[in-house]
Amino acid sequence: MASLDDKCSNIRSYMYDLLAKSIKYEGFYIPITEYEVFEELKNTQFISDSRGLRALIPKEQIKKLIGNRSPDTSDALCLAKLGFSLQKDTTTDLVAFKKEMDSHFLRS
Amino acid sequence: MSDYSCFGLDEAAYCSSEIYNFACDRLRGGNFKPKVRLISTPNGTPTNNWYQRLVKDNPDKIIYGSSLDNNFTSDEYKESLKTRYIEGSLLYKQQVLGECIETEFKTAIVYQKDFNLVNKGIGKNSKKCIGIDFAGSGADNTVIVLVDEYAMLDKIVLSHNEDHFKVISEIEKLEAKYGKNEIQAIVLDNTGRFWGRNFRNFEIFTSKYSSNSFCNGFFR
Repeated sequence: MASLDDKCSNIRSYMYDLLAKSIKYEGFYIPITEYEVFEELKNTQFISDSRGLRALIPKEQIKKLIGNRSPDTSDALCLAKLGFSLQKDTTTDLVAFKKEMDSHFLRS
Repeated sequence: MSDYSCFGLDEAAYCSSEIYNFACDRLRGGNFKPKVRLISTPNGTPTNNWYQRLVKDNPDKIIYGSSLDNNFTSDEYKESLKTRYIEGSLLYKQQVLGECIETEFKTAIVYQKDFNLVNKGIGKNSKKCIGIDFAGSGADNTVIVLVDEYAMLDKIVLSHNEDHFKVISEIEKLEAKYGKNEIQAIVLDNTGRFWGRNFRNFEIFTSKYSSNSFCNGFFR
């Protein structure tokens, strides 16, 4: 079941965390011709926020590092990867996932 | 001669720790203070842990040789490196300044020939998902990415001037190329959720956390 676990500060960091884990443990491949993604992911770093949760460095900082453009491709990539987490669920689980996200954001 | 006062190890990152340890054992120190010098230019191939640990633990003892140090290359070339890798970026620090950069994502990058090999098996008959990052109010582009579980297979970039009908047409092209039934999910960002409402059986997660969220839409 896909879950927005307690370790991530928001859905954005959760999605990047999913991608990072997928790369690290399952193997996920990006062709080297996708230079922009290479650059965007290299400059996307995890930090701990004030609550000790896994967070990303601010998007503005990433933009600055990659030449004042938005990391659109890596964002789209993470969204696409999130699809698999949701796909593993049934429709009922999807509802549960939504509830889980609600509770996360209400809590924060 | 069994005792040394100085040793240099070339391509140290690819030598085993035994070589380093055995050589250090011979540096007993007598009339001279023994010195160890390690040289390496790691180029993406996994390096040995002992070397990485040594580099990380002794930042003050590392001398980086950058691409800018070479007196035999032209100023134009050096300037082009700054432009291509964007001065200050992590990639610039790694590729030009030769610093050790660690990110969680670096192992994802593979060369095209390796990717083709991977793709040959993985891209076929596997389930796929599409992620769409919609252009915001600025000069961003709309980016559509198609992945399967193990690889990024396709990318389409649309200018922010393009209307949403173009997005639909591109999705349909991807469906035709990869098989409609193969694409199981299309996930949208926050900007695209209003568009998604009018397209297929779209579900809104919630708008309660829109200011804090990224992904807001999902349909299949």
